[in-house]
Amino acid sequence: MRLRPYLRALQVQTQSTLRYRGNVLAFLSYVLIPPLAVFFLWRAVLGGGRTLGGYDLSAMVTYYIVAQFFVANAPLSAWSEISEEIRDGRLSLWLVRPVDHFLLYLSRNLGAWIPYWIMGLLGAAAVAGILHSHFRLPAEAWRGPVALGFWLVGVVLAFAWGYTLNLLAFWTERTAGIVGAADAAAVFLAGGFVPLDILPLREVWLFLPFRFVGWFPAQVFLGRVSPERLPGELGLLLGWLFLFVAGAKLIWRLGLRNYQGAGL
Amino acid sequence: MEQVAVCVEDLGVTYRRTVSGAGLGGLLRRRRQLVPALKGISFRVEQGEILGYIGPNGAGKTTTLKVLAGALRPQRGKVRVLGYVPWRRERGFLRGISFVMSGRGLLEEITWDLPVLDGFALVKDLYGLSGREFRRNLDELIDLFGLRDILGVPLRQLSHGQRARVELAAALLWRPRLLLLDEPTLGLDILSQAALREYVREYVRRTGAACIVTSHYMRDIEDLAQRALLLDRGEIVAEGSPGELARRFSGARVLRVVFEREVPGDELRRLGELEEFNGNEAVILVPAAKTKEAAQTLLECFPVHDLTIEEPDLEEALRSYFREAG
Repeated sequence: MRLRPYLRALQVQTQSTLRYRGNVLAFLSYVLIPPLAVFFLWRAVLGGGRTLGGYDLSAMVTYYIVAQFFVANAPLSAWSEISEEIRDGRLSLWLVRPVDHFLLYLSRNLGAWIPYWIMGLLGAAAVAGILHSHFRLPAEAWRGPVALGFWLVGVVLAFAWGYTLNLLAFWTERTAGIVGAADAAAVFLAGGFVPLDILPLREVWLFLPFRFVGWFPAQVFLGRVSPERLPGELGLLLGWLFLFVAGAKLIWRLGLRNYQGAGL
Repeated sequence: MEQVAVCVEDLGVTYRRTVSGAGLGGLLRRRRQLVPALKGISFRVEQGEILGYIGPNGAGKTTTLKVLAGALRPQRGKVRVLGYVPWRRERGFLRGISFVMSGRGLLEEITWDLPVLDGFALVKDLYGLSGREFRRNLDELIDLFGLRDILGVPLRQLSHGQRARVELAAALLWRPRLLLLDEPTLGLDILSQAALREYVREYVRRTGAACIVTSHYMRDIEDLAQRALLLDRGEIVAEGSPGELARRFSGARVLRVVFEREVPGDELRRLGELEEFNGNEAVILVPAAKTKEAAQTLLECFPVHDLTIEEPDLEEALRSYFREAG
């Protein structure tokens, strides 16, 4: 497979995002404000040495900062542009090029996100600094990079999910409502609001693959996953990823049969 | 190299659309309708040939191009483009064609905020050009399209005409063997239109590529195409050189008159259809059979300074054809 078109698309999209640096900078407020606000809530709940599902205040604050960074920076709704292009016929522009649409949009999506990831990382570091008395760095140095690695594979999985939802535009034309609802559900299922292991029906949430986008990498970071479990979890993640990508490809094929290219 | 670039047999495309009444009630009363866009058309295009593809709005021109480019799968018919079945979208096929769509270009879509050169670099990688090929082709296109001064300017800061030239250059960068041009001169001023036609002609002459061009400006077709197909409501109703089509579809002649002094328009209207009139000059469309009689009347009854009799151009011919066809 040729990688150059996709690397170039990624670069072009990063360049385009960086043309509007003020916009990227404004993202900092989105990264800074929620964790600080949520801190006061958790302090009220877990102050005075109380714990919840094995989380004390420090563990919960660390979880929230790390998981918030992971979930807020994952393309769970992919890109609404994908469904808009199907709707207004601009998809034809891509159908006549010798490139894979899924990979092209994955590259473009990642390219658009990279500047925000850097900003998000700075924001998370700032929050960790402000709440330093509660933020716990992992005891083993490998946990940070391994958590990041799991998350990056989870990002591709999240994209495949959002991409597939956007492809529903082949049949329904307007997908914003469906994608929005599915996005909110996916943020919850990724552990973006609360740790999944303190919820009722935890077996259900922990079976679904969305946990790899936020909850699981955060668990690795917190030292709550033993090294022996990692290969098995990675295999599971890759299995889910394969299923999601295969599903996206199938929907794409079926959708193209329905495509009329109206508009252009 | 295969001589036949495009071979279409019995091509049929039917669109589905939803029809509803106006207002809120229309939301409840909706029905599906099948609209035939192409009703079994057949034609061929040779390498090195420029084919004009003309017809009114909704005739099926763009639909045909979409099928040929692999963006649309037809319900019936046999299509071979450069030896490939288009809708299988194999790499060799996609690498051999270029489809310039009316009103929207690839670079506008993805490198709108970036300098023109970044857009060309993207095309280079999409089509897998080597550095050498890219530099050679780009240099040639930069000269051909006069782009040297705007390579560093973001696309969104260019004029419409400049953007059209950039998009066309980007569409030729990988030296396609088949060019599909859908309304390439739409929205351009007359100078840019002429320049663009010159570029296309020159490209086809240099590379031996085939080209299919649709346009509502008949000047594009007359200037570019050796042969034209006239499409109406999904069917090919005529084929020939632009000149032949003009003669076939017009039973009229054009009389251009310059008067020595101002004359009343009412008198002239009796001779035929007054296309243009300003008191001193007139363009009159008269039935071919009455040309002699009208010219005689003009010379005898009006202070004629100059009179020419012309065959109508393709645009006038098609206008009268579609007016009669309803």
